[in-house]
Amino acid sequence: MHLGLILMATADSPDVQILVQSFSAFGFQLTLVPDGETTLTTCDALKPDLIFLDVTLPGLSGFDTCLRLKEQDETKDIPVIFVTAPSDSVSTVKGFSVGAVDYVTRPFQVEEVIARITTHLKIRNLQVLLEEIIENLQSEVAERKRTEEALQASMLMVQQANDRMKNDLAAAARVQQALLPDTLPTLPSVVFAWTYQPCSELGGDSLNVFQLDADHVGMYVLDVSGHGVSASLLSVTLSRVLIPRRDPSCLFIKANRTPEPDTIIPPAEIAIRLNRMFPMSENGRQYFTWIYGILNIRNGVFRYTCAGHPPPLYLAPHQQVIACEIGNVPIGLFEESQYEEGTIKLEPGGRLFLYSDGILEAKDPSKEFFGETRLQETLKVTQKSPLQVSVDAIAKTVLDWTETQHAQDDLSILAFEWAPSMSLHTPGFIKQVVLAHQFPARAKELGPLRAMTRMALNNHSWHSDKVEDIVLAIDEACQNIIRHAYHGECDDPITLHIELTPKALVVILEDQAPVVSPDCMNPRAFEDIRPGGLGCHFMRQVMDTVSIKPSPAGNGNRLRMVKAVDERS
Amino acid sequence: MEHTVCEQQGYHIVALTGEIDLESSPKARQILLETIDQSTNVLIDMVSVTYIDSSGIASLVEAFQRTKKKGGQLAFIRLNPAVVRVLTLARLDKVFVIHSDMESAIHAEI
Repeated sequence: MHLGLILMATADSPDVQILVQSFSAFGFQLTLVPDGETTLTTCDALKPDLIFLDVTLPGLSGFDTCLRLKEQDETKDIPVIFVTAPSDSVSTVKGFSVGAVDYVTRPFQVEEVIARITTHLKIRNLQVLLEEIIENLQSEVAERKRTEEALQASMLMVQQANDRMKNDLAAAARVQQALLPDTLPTLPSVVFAWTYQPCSELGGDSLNVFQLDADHVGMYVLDVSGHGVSASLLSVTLSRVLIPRRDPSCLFIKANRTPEPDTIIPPAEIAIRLNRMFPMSENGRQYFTWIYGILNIRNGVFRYTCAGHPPPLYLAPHQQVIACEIGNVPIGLFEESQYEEGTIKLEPGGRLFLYSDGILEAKDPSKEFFGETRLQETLKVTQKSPLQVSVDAIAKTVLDWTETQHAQDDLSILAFEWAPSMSLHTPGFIKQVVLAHQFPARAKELGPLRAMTRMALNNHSWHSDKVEDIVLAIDEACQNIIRHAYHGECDDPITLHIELTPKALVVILEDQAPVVSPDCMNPRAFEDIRPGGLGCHFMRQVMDTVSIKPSPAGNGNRLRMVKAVDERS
Repeated sequence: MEHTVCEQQGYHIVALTGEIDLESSPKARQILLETIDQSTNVLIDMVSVTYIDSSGIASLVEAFQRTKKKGGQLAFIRLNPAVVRVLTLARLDKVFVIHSDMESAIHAEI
């Protein structure tokens, strides 16, 4: 077994010959050279594993030879052991200074020399191994760096692609939002309210409400199966198709030649047409549920069809809730589906809620559905609140149920309250909505609000002085909400609801601010009125009663002011 | 809300126009206080003020108090019924100096 090639530069002698024989027995191959010059040339040729240099070489000395070996890349790492005379400490020290790793003295002790060779070859081998490991590590580090750089470049590309996609989604969401009703029909006997909260940037729900003629209003809520881009694309397409316009393609109205009035298309007939226009096979296996109804604002009759959609809920004026179920299949599922119609006769003050299944199927952390019973309870609890407050409260209650910030599924609610104009003395008169309006808690909103309130009250024959008093009270109430409930201007809502009952004009203002103490409205001595209290003083002076309590809708405050009807004029 | 300020027979006359409410009352306050700082005799012409609320009233009260403090005189002229109603509700109709027009204010030497 060949354990290593040893080069020895020294004058030949009997102890050297003994070494030659012993080396062979230990598995080392020994090459003898006579001087320094030969050592250098032999090293280049043989690449020995270890070199012995006699300090007393002829010509180039052992020290100089060692220096030359250490100057060359090819030989600088070969361990050098000097051969010195016993007690030649000067040569020993000099040997270490020119790069030797050890020394031996003559005459040679074979076991000692073999032990030193073995040790230094082991050290050398370990050094080589260490260098290889370091080299491998360096190469691994370099490779990892390259990989990381490539990964970062990829991540940047993914980020850029993601940003582009987000921008595209936001743009698409804006298109979708633009198709939601920005203004609701303003009619003397109906108040509308709605909310729409998509579960992601893009939703599959859509809703709209529009006037069909002087006496009829159409409204729908639809829910495309699935979520995300594909659902929203069909939803947007449907929103475009479901716009009432005076042309032959309109699904809702058939325009006739004057003087014949336009024909309003019955809900079931439109459902049948939609079912033919949007078969599931042509829509990427998507279908949609749809509820569409027509309200006659004169008599409060709501004629509707419900294609696989949750049934509308009718909240009667005396807290009874009726689910108005009709069993039809969703639009697009079956080619020749027929659709039944239902009719609801609303009582004055009755409210009807159309909504998507995202309300009923919202799950709490234990996977329990929100369900129809809780929805009905929320409707009842908020019945005395303005309609928009009630609708917003439903959405908030559902989100609270899920214990999440965003809806799990699209949430859509479209509601109306039928409050027909009647004489106060008409039998059965319960109440009439004079004005319903929601606006952000900002000072600049108050001017338009006063103008709107004046106009609404003037339409109900109130004397102008009384109108100005009520306008002042409402203005001061709003200021108090902005300054003391919200603690400054913000975009959170104030909801105003003014209704006329046989006995009184009732003004309700609801906010979503932290609950304030009811004591803030208690009367004080005039001398005790601070600047902020002057508004409350005005409200108490011009209205018969003023009270504030937590909103039944669950958050915020409800300010209620009443003015007796006999003071109307 | 709009305003003009003019000087006539030794009086600074501030004419306010429009509605003085939560949005515009800071501006009304600033105009009144600046005028009071320049003059000891101030008339506030309210003929074109169609509405005033508690924040507007607070601005008038502050102007009135500052005038008194510096020994000056301040009177309101040509109030329309809507403003009178609110001043009455605030019981300031007996506190403020109110004249039907500029001549009577000058005649009474405020």
